[in-house]
Amino acid sequence: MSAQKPSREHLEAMQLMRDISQAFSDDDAALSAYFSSVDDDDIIPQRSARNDFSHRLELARTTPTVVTVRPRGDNPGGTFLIIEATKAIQMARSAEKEQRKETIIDRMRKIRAEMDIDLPKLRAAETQRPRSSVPRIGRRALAEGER
Amino acid sequence: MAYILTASATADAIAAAEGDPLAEWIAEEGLRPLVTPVTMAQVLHSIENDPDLSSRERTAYRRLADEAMRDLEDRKEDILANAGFGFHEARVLAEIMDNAAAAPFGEFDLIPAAIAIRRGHDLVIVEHIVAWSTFADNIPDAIGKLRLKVF
Repeated sequence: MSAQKPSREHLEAMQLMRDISQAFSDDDAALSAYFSSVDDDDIIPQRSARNDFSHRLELARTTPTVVTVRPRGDNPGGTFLIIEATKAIQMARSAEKEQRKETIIDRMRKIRAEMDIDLPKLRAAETQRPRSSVPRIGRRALAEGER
Repeated sequence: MAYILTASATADAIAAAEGDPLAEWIAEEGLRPLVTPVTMAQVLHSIENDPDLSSRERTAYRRLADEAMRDLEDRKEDILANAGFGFHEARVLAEIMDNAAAAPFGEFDLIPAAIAIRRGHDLVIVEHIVAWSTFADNIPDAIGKLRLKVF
């Protein structure tokens, strides 16, 4: 593989891995390192992935295996990752963490600062409200003349 | 781990008072709690109907709730996340309704409770703590487990 001139798919896949690594660099050093550990030998065409599947799964514990698929006929091609499922969970959590830079508390306190007011606690369950109900079913409802 | 708010917990989050344990916890942990639409309806109803609020306080609460509602209605979900109530949760709700018949907490709070049971979230409680604990303990294993985060 490394002896050959790298294909366009190969170079694009390499760039994608750099982008992923970069995306996690602020929030999750371990994930960033995981994706930055991809080198030329980890980027393989679909055929190699098929022939070498169990070995590739084993390698994916420490380094993602990147499978490139060339467009052909109806198949648009693309770049696919073999990673451990726990890594996907980490990625989701890390993304979530990033979203939470401003919490509801921060947002509300900003608004409160403009209003400058002390607020009593609101106790939803104790406020008068219409009762919810369950429908009456069958004989009893009819006997009571309800429809 | 995800946390889903009861109505009063939502009200506390919206009030975001300095020193309030729930508010401080959300801020420190950087959480984006889950809330289900019916819970927001309870909060909005309380804001309009709580007899203890002065008109100034009511206006302030309206403004805060409005900000939270806009975040949810526009599906931005930057500060709160919508916890969907679906048919799987409906089955759970049907099973737990009777257990809560005599409980002092609001009946509508059974909806986030059902979601919590079904999805394995923690239900955030700020009042009627003993009643909620008893209620949670009495839910048969076959239905699921209700974990509480108590303030």
